[in-house]
Amino acid sequence: VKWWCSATGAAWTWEWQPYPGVWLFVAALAALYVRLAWETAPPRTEGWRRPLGVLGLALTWATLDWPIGPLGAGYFASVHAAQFLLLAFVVPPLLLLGVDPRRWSRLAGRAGPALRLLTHPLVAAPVFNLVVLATHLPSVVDRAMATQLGAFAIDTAWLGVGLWFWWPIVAPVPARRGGAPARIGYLFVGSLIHTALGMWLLLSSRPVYGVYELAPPVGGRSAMADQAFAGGLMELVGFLIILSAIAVLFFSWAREEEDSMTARRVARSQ
Amino acid sequence: MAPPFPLRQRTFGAALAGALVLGCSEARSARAPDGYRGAAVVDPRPLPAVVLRDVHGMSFDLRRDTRGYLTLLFFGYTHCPDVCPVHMANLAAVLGRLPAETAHRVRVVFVTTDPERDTPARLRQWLGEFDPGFIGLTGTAEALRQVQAAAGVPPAVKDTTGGADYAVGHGAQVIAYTPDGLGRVMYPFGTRQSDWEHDLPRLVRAVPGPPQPPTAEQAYGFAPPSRDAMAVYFTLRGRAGAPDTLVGVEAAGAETAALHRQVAEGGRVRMERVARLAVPAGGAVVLEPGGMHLMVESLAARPAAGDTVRLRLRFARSASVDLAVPLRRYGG
Repeated sequence: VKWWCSATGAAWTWEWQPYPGVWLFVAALAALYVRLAWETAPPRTEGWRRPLGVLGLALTWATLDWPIGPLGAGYFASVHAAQFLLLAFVVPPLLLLGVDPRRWSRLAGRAGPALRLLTHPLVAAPVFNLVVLATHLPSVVDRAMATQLGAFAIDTAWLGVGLWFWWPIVAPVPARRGGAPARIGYLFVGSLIHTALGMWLLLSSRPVYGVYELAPPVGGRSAMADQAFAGGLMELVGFLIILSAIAVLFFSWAREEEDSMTARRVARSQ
Repeated sequence: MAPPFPLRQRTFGAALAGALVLGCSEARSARAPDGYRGAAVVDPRPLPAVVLRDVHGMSFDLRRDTRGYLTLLFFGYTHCPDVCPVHMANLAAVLGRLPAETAHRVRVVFVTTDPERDTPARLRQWLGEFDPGFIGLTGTAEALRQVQAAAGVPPAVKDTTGGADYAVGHGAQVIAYTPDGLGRVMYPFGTRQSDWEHDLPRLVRAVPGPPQPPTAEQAYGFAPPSRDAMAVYFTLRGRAGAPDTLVGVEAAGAETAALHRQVAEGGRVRMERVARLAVPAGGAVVLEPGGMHLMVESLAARPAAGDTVRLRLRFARSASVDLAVPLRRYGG
């Protein structure tokens, strides 16, 4: 039994394969998430939060399990890039948005200074960029994806640093100064490395990852075309995700500014 | 050079191939001492002296038709799910990036280990997806067994447990024969494009072999009125410092192809067969209407204008030259 999706060198088959390690991981993550993120006592968690959390968990499962998991681990750099985007850029904000606000308050009370330090943007952004860079180095990818443990480490590292990176943007605790402009700047800085990696993959004149260059072919796409597609995905989709987040922050900020100006005008007129 | 990742679960073919290469290959190899990223062959063997059939049905003398080239010999099959397409794709990609003067001195020869399914048409179509210049060869089971043995590769093994969709275990290494015709370096599965890019220019220059053959250009012919005979014309240009002699021609889909000269005698014109045609170093020999020409005879089917006839020109000193001759309409 293979517990986690890794590169095997075997020819691809569309025959379903079980990965019990993925199921156990997702089940444990779901149990932990439900326990930590949702309130069971009335009043229940707001209606829109739970679906976001469930969507985040479902996407985690879909990203790690067959067929996306093995295709990304051992056949297509582009699927690997899609996994990265899902685990580091899509799932984390969904999971964080799904947390009940009362849980945030309780967490803030318990974690205190440690949480403030760890989730500080000047800590979170470098850690995120460093891990993203390290987990895309050819020597790391080629070695890690060949073993189940290595592939597990890369997948969970992306999810972990994704949560870390998005925490200062999405989580309301600890409260920080700076507002939307600072968060927009943080998002911009946080996207530098993956944008550079995407550009590198897009413009490389030869395959950079041995694991995908030597993978048994699936569907006739060449290693170079696959790599360029992977780079394009990281560039375009990664950019669109960051841009969407920036847009949400900007318009929320603009609305708040407008509301406060209106409130000031009303106060002056009275 | 180790593969970038251990391949622990392979198909039957690849697994057996790995075993054949790593465990019981007759051609022993060692880490190349001279900077190659492939493995040096301890006792270099010459290219097998064997004649097989190419994808156009013409005979291909493995040793003679590759003289002076860096020949990359690989045994595989077109239904192979892993090793064969990866090797071919990587070689095609690298040859596409190398300077033309280097790439033109490399011949990739793919010898099938599955002659039942790998018909010439199938071989041509499959290799064409990578590089139409790759040479695909097939032959009788006995001839293929002999050529594998001569190359130091254990014979391929057919696994019929999968029924009609069977796998074939085969050697997974590409053997590089330097221009002097000796198989000096071996490339197992796991060889990357960067390795090929590093080694191929060095291998081309490594050991000088026979000179490059003359070039053949401006080829054309006229669509014949029948299957009996057809005249073909082209120009041969000799390499500087390398005079050569055209000693034979083979045409795909024809029984014979021979050089003829038009001779005027006593008011009559007759054809005289020419056995050999000298190509001077740095000079040109023009085959043209009213003079020297190539007569292709007893064609299997009558070609039409717009069709292409494939020729293989064989020289006394250098490798053969393949020529695609477009046919014109008479007076066109």
